[in-house]
Amino acid sequence: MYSPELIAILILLLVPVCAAILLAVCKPDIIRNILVGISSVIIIGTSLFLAWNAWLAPISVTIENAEWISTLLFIVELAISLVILGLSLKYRKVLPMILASVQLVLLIILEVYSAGRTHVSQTFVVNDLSLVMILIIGIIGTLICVYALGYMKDYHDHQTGVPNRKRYFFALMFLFLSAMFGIVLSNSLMWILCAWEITTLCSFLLIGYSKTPEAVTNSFRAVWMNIIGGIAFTLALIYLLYIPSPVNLLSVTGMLSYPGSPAGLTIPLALIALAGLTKAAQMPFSTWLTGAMVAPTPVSALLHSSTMVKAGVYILVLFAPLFAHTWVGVVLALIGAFTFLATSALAISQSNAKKVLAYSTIANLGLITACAGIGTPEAVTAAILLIIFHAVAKALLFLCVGAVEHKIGSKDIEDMDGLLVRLPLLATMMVIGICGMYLAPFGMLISKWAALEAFLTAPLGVVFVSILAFGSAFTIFFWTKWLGKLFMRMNKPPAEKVTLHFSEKLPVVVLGVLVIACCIGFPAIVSGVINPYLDTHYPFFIPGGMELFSFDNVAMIGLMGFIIVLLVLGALFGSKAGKTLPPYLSGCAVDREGRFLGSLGVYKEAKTSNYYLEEYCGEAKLLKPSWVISIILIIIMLGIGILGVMI
Amino acid sequence: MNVLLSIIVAIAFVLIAPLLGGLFMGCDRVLTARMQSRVGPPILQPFYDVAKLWHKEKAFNNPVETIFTTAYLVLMVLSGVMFTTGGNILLMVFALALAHTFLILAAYAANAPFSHIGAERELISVMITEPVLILIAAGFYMVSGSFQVIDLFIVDGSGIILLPGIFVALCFVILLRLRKSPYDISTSEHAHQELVKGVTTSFSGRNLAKVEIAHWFELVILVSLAILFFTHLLVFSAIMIIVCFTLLLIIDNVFPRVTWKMTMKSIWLITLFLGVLNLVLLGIFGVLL
Repeated sequence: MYSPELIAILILLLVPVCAAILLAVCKPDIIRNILVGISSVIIIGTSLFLAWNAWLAPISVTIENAEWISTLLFIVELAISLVILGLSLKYRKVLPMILASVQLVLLIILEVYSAGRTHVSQTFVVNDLSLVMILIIGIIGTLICVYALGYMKDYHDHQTGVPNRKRYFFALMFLFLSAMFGIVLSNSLMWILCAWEITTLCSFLLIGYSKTPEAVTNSFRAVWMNIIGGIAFTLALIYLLYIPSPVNLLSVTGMLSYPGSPAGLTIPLALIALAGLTKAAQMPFSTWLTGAMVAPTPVSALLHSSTMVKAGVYILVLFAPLFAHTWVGVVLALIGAFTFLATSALAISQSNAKKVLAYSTIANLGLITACAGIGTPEAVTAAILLIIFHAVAKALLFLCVGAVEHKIGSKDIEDMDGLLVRLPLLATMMVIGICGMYLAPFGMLISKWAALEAFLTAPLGVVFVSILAFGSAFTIFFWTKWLGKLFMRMNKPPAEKVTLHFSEKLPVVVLGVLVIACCIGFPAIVSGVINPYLDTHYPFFIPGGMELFSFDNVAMIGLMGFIIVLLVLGALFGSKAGKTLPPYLSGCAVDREGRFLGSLGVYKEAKTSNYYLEEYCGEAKLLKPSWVISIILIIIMLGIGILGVMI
Repeated sequence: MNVLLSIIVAIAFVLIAPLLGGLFMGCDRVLTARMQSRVGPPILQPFYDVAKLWHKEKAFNNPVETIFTTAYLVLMVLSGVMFTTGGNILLMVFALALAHTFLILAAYAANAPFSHIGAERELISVMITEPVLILIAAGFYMVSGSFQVIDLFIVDGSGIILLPGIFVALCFVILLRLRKSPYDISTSEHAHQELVKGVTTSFSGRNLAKVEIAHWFELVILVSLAILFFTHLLVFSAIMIIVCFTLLLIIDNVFPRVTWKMTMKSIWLITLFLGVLNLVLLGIFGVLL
């Protein structure tokens, strides 16, 4: 009979698919709400159960009939390629068409050559890394779907020109979750490839949801960039078939336990790295993620925080032990670090909140890529911490921006002044999210510290440290100026009474609490989840080797957190005695709201806006040079892969 | 360091640092005045200023200013305490950045043009400082194998010999954090400034006093960071600090019209060419030492 773990795994893979089918069929809003609610509860419960069991002991299960599942998945892959081909034909897009055909041919070659081979002995493996991913997808992913219920109602009220295709929308969202579970649960690389292709297709369709010309262009850009990754992945698998090995290299566990020197694996590693780079939207592939902002906000949140891009870095972190001793890994890390630097600078020049979040996402993924490429235990610790903290805080920020956009009618940061007065709940959550992204003692900063410590011992360490130092300076700049806007005294009248849908309020608050919980619980995450994972993959790993996690430092971080709590309490309950005066405006006529009285008796508002440093950080200035540099680095990486250079 | 000693050192720091910082500011004002052929205020003027500010009426543009300026002061003190008790230098850098964030938020909260531009420019100066401070921490780590300040004292040889480039970068950061140059950045009780009162425009009374005191603490922290480069040559370090201080004042008075763009470019170029190169060389030849 099936073990409870296997049943849990099957629930995670199949419940979202069933929910997707039902959602595609049922039209009334009320049934959709109930369906989404029930399946979310099932998915969250099951992921908690599975994560708990995997935490007690890593799970690896085998199922029978793996052959016909593989065949089924192959048919799915072919269908995906054909759908993309068909849509490219319909919209007359040449590049996606060519790439999709190449992908189709490669898939058939792969299937033909792998036909007679023995199949993977373990079908599903859940270790501590996949446990983290399961929790991220299971909890954050479903919360985003719940949020979408309320959001899509407002979306169609605001965007009257967009045809209402909510059934299609929700079906794709859940299909997406299922594909993500497929990537993190499967052990077979063939199955991972199939799930990989499903995420490509879902993101493609979701980005093009509104069918406006801009959305169509951006969705095709996303699809051709991701197909490049798919092609690289397929090529890697085909190449792996030709490497003689006592273990089955077409599985994750097989790759990681390859008995020969990793020098023999550099070509597939470089190809998989390329696949990871496309999915994680690293330079030069970053434009698909910034273009994906045309989609409704829940899609952006899903793509950015818990799925899609995380699939890219998950694959890279998974193979980090193999990257550790190769120059492929070092160059991969360079691409990531460079992306971090360039996109952090680009984020300074953006005033569209979603665009800022997009660039910051790419930057953080760059940092994770850098850590994965370096691949030492310290670096992997930093990478996993970054994955967790980034997922929670970024999902929160996207959901806040989406809700704020519907309430104040703008997603421009310049329009968010005094938000703390106008929309207290959403703004408070936004403050928590922003602090979580860059301020001490919150999570991302802890991870950056871990990354710094890891870089110092890596090859070319000084280069990485310098990039991190300057990149962090940029992040401080763009986050602080956003944060400042929220705290501004209000010159405008407060927004009229606005109510937030319950389905929006719940995920936002839960995520806000999660950000804080992750910050408080980070020592537990490190010792309970990350150290056991490293223990199994690095034979010489000594837990507690990192200075960051020494008792003194954790205590100091705790003290800092305690001071922040006291200050927040002081702000809430402290004495506000004193006189509120109009601001200083150089002695010009001014009333209490901070306005000038003009010479003709008209009140004029004195208005300033944030710095965007366009002349240094503008897209026009930075994008093209960054593409050139990153393409050169990718070519170097592939070249080193072919040469098989070791450190 | 044991707990009791740490507590004593921390208390001593909290008591002595503002005195030193205030005197430092006083000397600065007198010296600058002399260089500009003025008499200048008495050397204790900063203390008189703060004492007077403390008893002023409570007034603000936005009530949150009170809590934000308190946060600025408290975190600045915390950062100094971490440093003087031999704690972690990275954590200290992060606490400094957090303190400045609160100052900037306080200026933002007024939602007034002068204070907003002041806040933005203060933010730029924080952005300029951050990489240098992180590289200093990285340099110390490469020398001593640890981010703990206390471990630096155990290492043979002084930081200045191994990290001269980083030290130069730090000197320029101190120049920037004195808030005198560039003329279009930050605050301006000093000469040659463009913005009325920069980041402090909207503060008055006790809030402004807190910002001043925090500024004294910051100066002491940065100067003691410079002293760290001379752990085995304490007398020499005292002389060096005085020399550097005078040199910085001269530089400041010779270039009264440096803009923030020039500052950003020059400090970052210095950091890249001297600081990073220093670390690269240390990485290559460090094995030999």
